[in-house]
Amino acid sequence: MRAKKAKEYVFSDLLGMEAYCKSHYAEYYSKSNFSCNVTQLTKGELLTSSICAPINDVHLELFKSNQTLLYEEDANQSSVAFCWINDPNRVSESNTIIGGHKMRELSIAGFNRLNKTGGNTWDIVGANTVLCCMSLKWDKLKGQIDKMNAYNAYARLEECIGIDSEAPSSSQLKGLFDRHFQHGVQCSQSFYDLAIATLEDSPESENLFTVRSDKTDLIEDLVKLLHEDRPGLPPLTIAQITQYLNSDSKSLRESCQASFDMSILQLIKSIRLEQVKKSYLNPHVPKGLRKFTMKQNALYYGFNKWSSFERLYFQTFSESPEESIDKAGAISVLVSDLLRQRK
Amino acid sequence: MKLSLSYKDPLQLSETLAELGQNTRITQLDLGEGTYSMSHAMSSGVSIAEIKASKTLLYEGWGTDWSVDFNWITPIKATTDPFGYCEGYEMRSNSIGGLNTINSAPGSSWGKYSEACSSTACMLDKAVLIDSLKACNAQTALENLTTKRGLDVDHFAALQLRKLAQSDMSKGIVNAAKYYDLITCCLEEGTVRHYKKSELKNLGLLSEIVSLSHSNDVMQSPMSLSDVCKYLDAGQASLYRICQEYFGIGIIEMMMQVRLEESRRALLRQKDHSQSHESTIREVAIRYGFKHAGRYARRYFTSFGELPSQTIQRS
Repeated sequence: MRAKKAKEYVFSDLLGMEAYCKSHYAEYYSKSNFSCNVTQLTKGELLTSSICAPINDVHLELFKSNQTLLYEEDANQSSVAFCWINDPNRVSESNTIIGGHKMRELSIAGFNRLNKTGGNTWDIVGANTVLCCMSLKWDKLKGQIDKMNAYNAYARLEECIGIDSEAPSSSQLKGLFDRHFQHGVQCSQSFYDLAIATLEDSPESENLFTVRSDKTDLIEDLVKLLHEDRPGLPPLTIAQITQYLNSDSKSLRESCQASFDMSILQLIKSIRLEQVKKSYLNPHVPKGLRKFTMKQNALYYGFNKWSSFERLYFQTFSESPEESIDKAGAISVLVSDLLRQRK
Repeated sequence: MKLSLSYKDPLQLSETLAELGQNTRITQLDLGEGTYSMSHAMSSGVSIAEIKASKTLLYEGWGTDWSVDFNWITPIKATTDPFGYCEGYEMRSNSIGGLNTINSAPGSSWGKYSEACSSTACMLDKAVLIDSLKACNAQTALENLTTKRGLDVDHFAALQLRKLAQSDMSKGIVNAAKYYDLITCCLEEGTVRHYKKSELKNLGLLSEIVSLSHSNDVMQSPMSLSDVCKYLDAGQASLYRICQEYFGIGIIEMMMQVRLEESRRALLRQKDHSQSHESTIREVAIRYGFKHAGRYARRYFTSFGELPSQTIQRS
């Protein structure tokens, strides 16, 4: 690892990871708010690793987790992400979905986080999948698009959620990314040029672009709704969800199954369970109080029966609620400076 | 009659314009709150209005069956970007636009003006103007008026016209005939800008984009980019290029902004308070092509800095 400033961040809890992402983002894109919700979808102890090696105007990251994770975040207008998976030996059998686009070998997605339609975006990062993320600044990218007259690229940014591209520029982009993590690349310009070229030049075949549609909007809205922390948080019924999303239960059920490989209720359960866990880890509440309200927190998030909640909690996180509360506050991030390590 | 008003909301501008007989829909193309002011004066056969706004505004739908609506701008500050467009005609400090309101159907005109200038509209009676042009045998003026979108006028008459309008807006119109004389002079003396074929095609396309964005049917069930391309018979790259150049945003984004602004007008006009706010917002959201009220509220908030429910409370 020769990239300058390359650092690895290792997390074993998602609250810490969210907080870190937030401040990392705020530091990088000054004046912009960013927040995300992360939920663990598979069962077992968690360990994630982010290797970040930013340069001027480009944020570059390699992300990996031993569990499958669901991300939900608000769209923003300051950054455009380009993500792809790196799995040359196809070991992970990735079930990764970025921005609603199912990720295959040639896929690049994530750029619809630049979403001006007021939406949000969601990703699933499959267990043990290496995800390559490049994030560009929208102002700069837009200026570049104007200069290069690359209005196909602009159209695709606004209307597509992902592409599967065999264009040479796409493999060059991935190559440059790898080279950065091996040797360190100083200049951001090539990242911008190749990103635009990938969007602009990819062949026009219908199959290669996933276009924004009612279906993709519906699933985005569903994910957003399930994460909403409304006052009182009454348990959501399928009927309420369909009414709220102005949809019918059949298409919701099918969309949910196709995207998450689980039913809506299972998905709600995973998200709510994660929310309870985060409340147990909340550093702003004294430990004694967290223990005192332990059962109420579970009830608040819709788990009416303590004993079955406890069982589900243990199955999912390999620890009991008490253990989570006890562990909280311990150092949850391990940062290492990779360049210094090598010296 | 003379009047000067200042507003906090571009919708109030369109309300006042509607009282003056101009059913104009106004969409703010920049985010956030701004300040807006309007002065106007009216007398028989002449109506003038000047609008200043601290944000870029898109006006659609002006033009009446009785009038020709001349437009000009007054720079407020220096800028390297164009001040604005009247029906696609780039408005410079010496331009007079809106000539083709003589031919077009009422309500089919549009304009866009940035915060760097104020825009003035001067409505003259169509029949009276044509009669007077014919009476003084102003052939060039007639030709320009009926075949051009705009003219660049450096003649002294243009300066006089501006001064007259300026002083009449504070004192009231004394002599309407002066406007007819000065406009005749401007039409006669103005220079015609020459366009390439492709530029003329763009101007036509621009008007189609504006009119499509404001079509009620399209607002109710928004078109996808590929539908828009098919409908306008244009490629996505050229649509994006043209929208970026003239409006500073992507085409889908622009169409969305128009829908949002119209939905806001509907919320503000909400008279029936018998049903709950929640169901009113749902209905309005669906009427303007937003299927999901939550998404609508978030997008709305980004544009206007308040939630739809807050808008209803103000209505």
